[in-house]
Formats: sequence, structure tokens, C-alpha cells
Amino acid sequence: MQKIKLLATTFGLLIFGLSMAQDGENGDQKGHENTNKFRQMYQEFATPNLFRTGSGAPGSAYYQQQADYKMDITLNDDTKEISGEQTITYTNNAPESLDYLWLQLDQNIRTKDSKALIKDGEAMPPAEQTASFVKKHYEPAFDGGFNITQVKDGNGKNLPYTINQTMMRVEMDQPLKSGEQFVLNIKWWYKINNHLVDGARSGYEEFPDGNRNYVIAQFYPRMAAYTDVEGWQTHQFWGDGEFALPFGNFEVSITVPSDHIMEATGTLQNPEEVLTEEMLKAYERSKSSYKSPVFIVTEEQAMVNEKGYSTDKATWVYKAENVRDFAFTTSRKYIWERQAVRMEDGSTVMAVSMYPKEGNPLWEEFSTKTVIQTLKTYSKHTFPYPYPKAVSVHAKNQGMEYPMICWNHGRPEEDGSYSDRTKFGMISVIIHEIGHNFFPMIVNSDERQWGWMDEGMNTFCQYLTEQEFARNNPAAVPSGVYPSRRGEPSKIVSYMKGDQNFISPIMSNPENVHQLGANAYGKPATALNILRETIMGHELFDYAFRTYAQRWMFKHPTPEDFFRTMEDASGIDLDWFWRAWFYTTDYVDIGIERVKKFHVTSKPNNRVKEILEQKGMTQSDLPALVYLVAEQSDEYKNEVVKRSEKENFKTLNEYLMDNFTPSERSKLKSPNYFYEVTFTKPGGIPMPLIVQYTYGDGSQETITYPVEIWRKNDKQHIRVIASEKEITSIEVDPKAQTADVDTSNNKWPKDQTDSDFDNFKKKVQ
Amino acid sequence: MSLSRDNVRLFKWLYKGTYLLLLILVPLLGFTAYHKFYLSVTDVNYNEENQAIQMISRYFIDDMEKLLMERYDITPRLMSDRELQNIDTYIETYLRDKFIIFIDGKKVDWNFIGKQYDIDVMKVYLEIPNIAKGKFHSIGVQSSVLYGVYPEQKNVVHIKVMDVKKSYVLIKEKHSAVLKLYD
Repeated sequence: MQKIKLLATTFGLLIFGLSMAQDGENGDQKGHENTNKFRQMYQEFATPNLFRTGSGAPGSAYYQQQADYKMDITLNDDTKEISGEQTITYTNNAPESLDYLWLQLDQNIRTKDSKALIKDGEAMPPAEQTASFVKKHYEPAFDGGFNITQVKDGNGKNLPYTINQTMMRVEMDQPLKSGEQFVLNIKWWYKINNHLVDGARSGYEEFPDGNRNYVIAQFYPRMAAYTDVEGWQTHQFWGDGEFALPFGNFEVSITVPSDHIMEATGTLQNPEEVLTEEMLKAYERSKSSYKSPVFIVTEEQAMVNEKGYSTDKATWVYKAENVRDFAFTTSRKYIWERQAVRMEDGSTVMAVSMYPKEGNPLWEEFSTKTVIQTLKTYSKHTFPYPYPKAVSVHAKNQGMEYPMICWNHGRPEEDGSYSDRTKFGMISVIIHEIGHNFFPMIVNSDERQWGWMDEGMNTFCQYLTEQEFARNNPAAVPSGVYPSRRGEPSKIVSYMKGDQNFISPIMSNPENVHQLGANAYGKPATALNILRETIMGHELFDYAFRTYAQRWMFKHPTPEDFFRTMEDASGIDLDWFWRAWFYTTDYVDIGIERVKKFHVTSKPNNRVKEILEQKGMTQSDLPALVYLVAEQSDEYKNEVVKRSEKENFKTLNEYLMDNFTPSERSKLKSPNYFYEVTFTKPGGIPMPLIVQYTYGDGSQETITYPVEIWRKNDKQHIRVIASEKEITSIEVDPKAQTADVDTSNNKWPKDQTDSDFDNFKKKVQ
Repeated sequence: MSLSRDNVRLFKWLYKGTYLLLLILVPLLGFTAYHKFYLSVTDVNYNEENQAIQMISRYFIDDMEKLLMERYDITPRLMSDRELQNIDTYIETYLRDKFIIFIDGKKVDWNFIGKQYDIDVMKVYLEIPNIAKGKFHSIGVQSSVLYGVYPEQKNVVHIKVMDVKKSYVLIKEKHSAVLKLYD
């Protein structure tokens, strides 16, 4: 007993000696604050409160405002003007009083002196096309801002108001108390822009025969969002940051030429007034047509309609409940198809497509099909789609979303042919814009502040839908794999490895980033995909993501509500992930620095001998030890290799004989190869270490070490491997799951011949 | 909203001179910003084993289509069954003119290995063989690719030689960059 204790102490001294020997000099050191990448997000996250809990769910005092609209709208196709009279009933559900009301006048970004026009710098080009030069410097700008002609309260009394660029403050006689309602009556008009000329998310497209397709949105003064986190959302509309809006109920009457066909947010209230008898029959029939779409207006009929020009008017009436916005489209050129979709929860939703003949043959083939797939996939990952319909409208070059309705590009060439690019571009944009019904139309995040909360989550679900679309439509996607532009980790690499001067964290306002597409769409979508595939697994991720969607359905979540819910519902601490992927511009780069192969021996190696000498000890002071010698060393070549294996393994074998019965020994592992592998992490993002080992017999094994391996050393991780088979090669992240920006350090032995370039070269030559 | 290539194309079409740039910018700045810094990405890597400089450039197919169409008065129909048969010759001719590599200040010809499509991107493979390791001290890249159709074009270049890595954003006003190697 006594001897064992002594031996143990001696061995302890030996190890102590080893570790001391590794320490460097101890000069004057500076302290530091907690910079560990795994530290909690207390400084970044808002403190939980009764409105929003630490779990990420709405709190007991959570509230949201309500804005109900009754509107009469007239669209004049001759003057290309739109006018409206609207009554807003605003309910203050906040516990505090409101001194004034703010409304969004988004069309004011289109006034001729809009500050948004001069928000970015310019440079004098050496030469410019004359037409462009004249337009820029000689011609007056298009003036498409709001003309507000009346702001009254519910009793018809004029209210003082102030327009500050794209926002309008309305003052009331007295503050609006908690729980009270205020009625506003506003009249307005503006000139509609040609969205193919002046850009924008809405406007008209003019065809050579003079017909116009109108896609109309952000067209009425809308109540700004007022929340517990922002108060009034007063960030102006500069063009990139989209919208922040409260929920409400809408009753809208829209007057257009009587030969126009319309679709809009909400349910049509007077089909018998605006549809012909034949159309009405088809309209009713479509409600139970689950197998294929019913054409309310066929292509043949649309081609007749577009030749007409009626001076009569018709008024279409819509009602929509619990929506944050309202948009509509109108034209005499439209083909109109509707199909009933049976949802998982037993409800029926109408999938609707509306497009001019110029969209065919692409649109009749893919639009409604795509709408249906989107509703199904998104509902599976969030909640059953709660609105009665989803409409995909074809508007050239557009891709823009509103509740129940959206505008999508994808136009074949004039001869009706189209490339795969056009086809997949169209399917993708329909998935994306229909998908926006879930984020942000229902999970109503603040787009003005956080572009990624709807675009990123939506692009992620778009990726899932695209892949499912491919599985369900093999004829449309012969390769079997949908060509998704965003979602796969490899697709974000060229952004994340780029010049840091042009990269911003995801947690940035959309107005202030250099590359909005990568910043608010691609990177967050990829981050979520990596979470699902690699960090959390499908089961834990899908449950947590659904929990988030259902907790915040018809509410206003913040980024923390998402981050917290994902942890709360999965039981995984993800603070490190949010910090690295969402709050920094760090990137992933993990590699292999070196691999050392060791051999076991029973004789003390040089290092131990050295320490024994320093301590004035001899081998007899030590217990039976197993010594390890690196195979690259001289010591190995000169000594170990010269001894017999029996001699080298003597200590080990004796120990096994003394301590295990033959039957126990037969169950032991028998590693013959010992390695020390040093992994290096030049990149700032910690990620699980995925390593594929290839053995001498050709077999392979992939081991995923948890991300926590980086918690005490962010730069390097060393592992000892005892293997029964010889390891012939090692590769980090063999399936490109982590968005590693530099894969040249991912392999041991270093493999030069396997680059993308060489592979391609071999293929073509 | 979708930041799609079609939106980008719209922007370019507008920029081309049909209408006032400033007017259109308001809702499209997202597209321009997206566009500005992501129009093309080129990886320039020194391959030690093959003693070669290997380059992969990624250009948006739409951009190349428009450029080749306008410059050579052809209908390329890239990535379609009806793609112009000798289109690679046009691409190579164009790039010889607009994408130039300098080793130690001297212009060096590259070999056109081929092109490949990846969703909405055309990947062009170029190679300069016989560059001995340690025998060169700088690599210069000059790219004027696509400026002819889009003056606001940005060409991102990542250069990697052994352990030296650097990224550049090339623009019309500053269309070249040089990586100096100190060994």
C-alpha cells in the first residue's frame, strides 16, 4: 500500500514536471474580460420581462396594437392614378397612453425630392449614354408621392398632422388611453409608377397594345407598428428595410374598369356582381376541385378580353381578417385559375394563379403546382396555413409578398420557349413569395429593423420546399435535386471569405449592409440549415422551429424571441452559435495541422529520462508505465524499432495478464496504432469537428466531436486516437456541411490533386 | 421581397440608359448593393504540386449572356439545349482581352480549360502552367470583365499562394490588384 502511494506521488511529480516544462516565462500580464465564444449572451440580449419571457415565448403582459381598415379605392386606368378614402379604427392595447399616432406613407419614397434618391454616393463616369445623361440631369423626376387631401377624426373634425418624409404624425385632442379606440378618416391620391421603368415593389407594366397590369401595394396610409420594444417604429422607409405593421381586419371596395379581372388580399364578397355567369360557375366549382385547377378565365377568354376597353366601372369588395396589410392586382389581360387544396388539418385553402398570356406556357404548367407545394411544406414546418387562399400573380421582374397575394417574375421568351434558369427562377420566386405568408405576414417580425427575420427564415423554408418540390415533381426536376441558389453551406462560402470591409453581421439593419442578398437571405438561411442538419438534428430543430412559429403566429417576435425559443424547446445551449453566425462576421475554417503516429514501448523514452535526471530519480522510482515514442523521431528509428514487439509491449501485456482473465481479455479492444492529431481552427466560428478517418483496409468512419471541444482553446484541438487498424487518411468536414472557407487544410496527408480545378480539368481533357 | 437575378437585370437595363438612374434606385438599392459587390468572384490559387496558377471565375449567366450578345452580336442561349456551339471561343476571346494576369509585373498567358454551369452562375477555369514554386514574387490581376455592359460592375478576387491569402474588390476606376509575396 505504502509503496503504491509513493509510486503514485512520484508519477504525479513526473507529470507536474512535464507540465511545468511546457509553461513559458511569466512576465507582467494584463487581465481581460470574458471573451470566451461560449459565454452567455447577457450583454447582447434584451433582459426578459413580462412582455417577453426568458424562454422566448410571449409574456403574461404581452400586447399588440390593432388597426382595422374600411377603404373605398378607385383606380383610374386612363390617368394612371389611384385615390382612396379610408377609415382606420385604431385600438391602443398598450398599457400606456399614446400622445399621437404615426402612419407610414411609403409612397413618399417616390416624391420628386425624396431623400432616398440621394442616400448613396456617386462618381462621375468617364462617359455615359446620352439618353441616360439627359434623363439624369435634364428631365424632371417622376413625382409619385402621396397627396393627402383630408385627415379627420371619427366625428368629421380636421386633425393636425405633420408629414416627415415617409411618415405622418397625427395629433389627437387628448392622448389615446390604454384600451381605447380612435377613428381616423383619411383621403389621398397618387400617380402610379411604371414599375418596369421607375422600379419599386408595385406599379404597372404597360404592354405594346396599351393594356396595363397593375400590381398595387403600400398604396394607402398604413398605421406604423407600436410595440413594447420599439415604441413607434419611426425608422423611415429608405427602400431596403421593408415594413413593420400591426394586424387588423380589412373591408375594401376597389373600383376599376368593368372589364378588368382582380385578385386581392381577403375573400371576394360580391362575386355575383363582378363575375359573368360563366365565371361565377367556374369560381364556385373551383372550391371543391382538389385534383386540378379550374380556369375562371381561360387563355382564350383573356385574349378576347385584352382587346376590349370598357368605360364602365365595377367595384370588387374584399374582406380579410387578421392581416397586416392589403394588396391587389387588376388588368383585363389576366388568365385566372383556382384549385382547392386539402391541408393536413382538414381545412381547404384555395391555391390561385393569375397571369397574362405572356406568362405561358410556364405559368399554366408550374404556378399553381408550386403554390400548393409551398403551402404544404411550410405548414409542416410551422403551422397549418390559416388564410383561405394564396395567390401567385405574374408581374414581370417582380418578386414581392403581401398577405395571401404576391407578385412573381418568370417570363418565357416571345416564342414561348424558356430556359431552365427562367423556369427554376420562377418556381423559386413563387415558393419564396408565397412562403412569405408565414414570415412575416403571420409571424409578424419587424422588417424595417431586421430583414433577416423574415427573409432568412423564409429563404431557409424555401430551400426545404424546393428540395421537396424536386422529390414530388421528378418530371420538372429530372436531376432529382432542385438547383437551390441558397441554403447549401458551400453556397455561402464566397461571401463569408470575402473582404471584411464589405461584410456585416446578420444582426444589422438592412439599410446599412453592403450585400443584402447574402446578409439577410443567404447567410441566415444557411445558418438555419446547418443548425438543422449538423448541430441539432432534424427532430430537435423541427420541434423548436415549429414552437417558435406557433408561439409567435399572429404576433410580433424579436430576434431574441427566436434565439431563446430555439434553445428553450430543444434543450441545446446555442448562444455560441447565435453569437458567431448572427452577431459577428467570423467565418468557419477548421483544418488538420499535423498527425503524429506513436509506438508503445516498455522502456522510458528520452523525455522521461530527461525529467528523471532533473529530479534525481531513476526508473525504479516509477511505477510500471507505458511509454510512447513518435514514429518520426530519431529515438524511434534508433531504439524502438530495433526492439522486438514483444519487448515493446512487455509492460502492457504483463498488466493485461495480471489484471484480466482470459475471457475478459477476449472482450478487450486491441489497438495497435496510436496517433496524436492536432486540429487547427484559423476561423473565428466554433463548429462541431466532423472528421472522417480512412483505414488501411479501405473502411471509413466519421466521428463528430461536439463544438464544446473549442470552449477552452479556440485555436487548436488535439486528440489521441488508439486504433486497431492503421489510419491512412483523415479529412475534416468531408461532406462540406460547415461552410468551411478554406478546405486546403482539411486533409491529411495533404492532398493536392483533388481540387475542384483538377477534377474539372480531368473531366474536360 | 426576392432579391433575384431578374430584378438585377431590370436594374441593369435601366442603368443602360433608358431611364433616370436616380429615380429607379429607391426600391432597387437592395439589388444594386447585392449586385455591386457580388457580380463576379474569382479564386486565384497557386497549386504547389502542379506548379500552376489555377483560376476559377464565377460570372452570373445573365450578365455573360447579355455581354456576349451585345459585344459580338450573337445569341448565346447559355445553359440551354440551344447554346451556341462555338460559344467557348467567344468567352475565351473576351476574357483574353479583359482578364489579365501578371507575374512579377509581366503579362502571362493563361490556358482556357473550360466552363461549367452551377445554377445561375458560369464557372470559367483558367490555368497558367509551369510556374515554379518560390520563383515568383508577385501576382497581379487586372479585370475589366463586364464593365462594358455594367459600369458599376464589381469583380471580387481572392488570391491564395501557399499560406498567403488576400481578397480584393476590383471596380472600373481601380481594376487591378497585386499580391506581393515576401519570400
